[in-house]
Amino acid sequence: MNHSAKKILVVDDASFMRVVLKDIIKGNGLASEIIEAVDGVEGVKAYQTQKPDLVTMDVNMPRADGIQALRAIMKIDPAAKVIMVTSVEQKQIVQDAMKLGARDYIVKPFDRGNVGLVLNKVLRQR
Amino acid sequence: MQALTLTGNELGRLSEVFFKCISTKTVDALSMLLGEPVRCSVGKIRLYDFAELDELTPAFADSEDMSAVYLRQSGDIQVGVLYYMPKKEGKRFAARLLGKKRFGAFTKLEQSSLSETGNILSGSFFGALAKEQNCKTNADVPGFAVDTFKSLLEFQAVEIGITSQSLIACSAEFHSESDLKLRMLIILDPANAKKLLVKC
Repeated sequence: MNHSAKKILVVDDASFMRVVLKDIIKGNGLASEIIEAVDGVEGVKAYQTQKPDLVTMDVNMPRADGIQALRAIMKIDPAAKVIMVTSVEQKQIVQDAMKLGARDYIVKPFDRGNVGLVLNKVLRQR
Repeated sequence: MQALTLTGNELGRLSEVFFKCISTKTVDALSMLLGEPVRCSVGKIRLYDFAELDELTPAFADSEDMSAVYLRQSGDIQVGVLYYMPKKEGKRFAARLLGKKRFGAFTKLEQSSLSETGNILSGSFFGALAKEQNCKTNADVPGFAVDTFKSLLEFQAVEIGITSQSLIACSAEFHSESDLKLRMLIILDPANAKKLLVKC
């Protein structure tokens, strides 16, 4: 499926991780526009103003973490598509996020093939 | 007040736990980050008095600055981790992560790549430790610094071992196929080491 008209928001305080995710998104032809936010506060603001088709949300961030930002985004838009990004298999955090409405999660370090599949799968969801 | 100490048997058990976590999950994570095979060696665990901390300085670290990432885990157990390598090696490492062939002064992006490496490796290590010893940990945001090894260690040592005036330290070295080397130093005070052995 061609997602070239899609817009994806990448929320992560680490510029390196934003670069890696952008690379995966572009490499898989998943979006024509990629927006970045450096923390949860910026992420929520970007969601409100840019209305992306998909959000990747890092869990551990200063100034509003991923769970706080997810909660805020789901309030704004219950149909929002958010994929959580965690650095370890933190089952409890992932479970909390899924209960709040996150669609899926990916774990650092990234398996590029798997990340592309997860992003593609969630983009295709309603 | 009598200083808390660990027996040889306890240090041995702790060594086995750390070895298991490092040689499986942490190595796998680094290998995935670099996109190449990585081998590791894990050193002996020892109890150091604050006065003995100089003994932790590796020979190569005496005369040059290190690029380092440090972070602390809190929760059931408080542990400090320092990842370090000579500054030039750090630049080569960052260039590898970013797919660059050349490197110059540390850019913010290169610093970020090293910080995230520390974050990811610690996530793998502490995730494995949490499963192994049934303890919950919360990660700090990683910090990046370029400084002498002594200064880098002192900062962590004071934060971790100020009450006991001593530290348990375990070092590991990772060596990639393209000859990148990264060192990891795990430090905790005796009280937290004892807690870890009891399986929270």
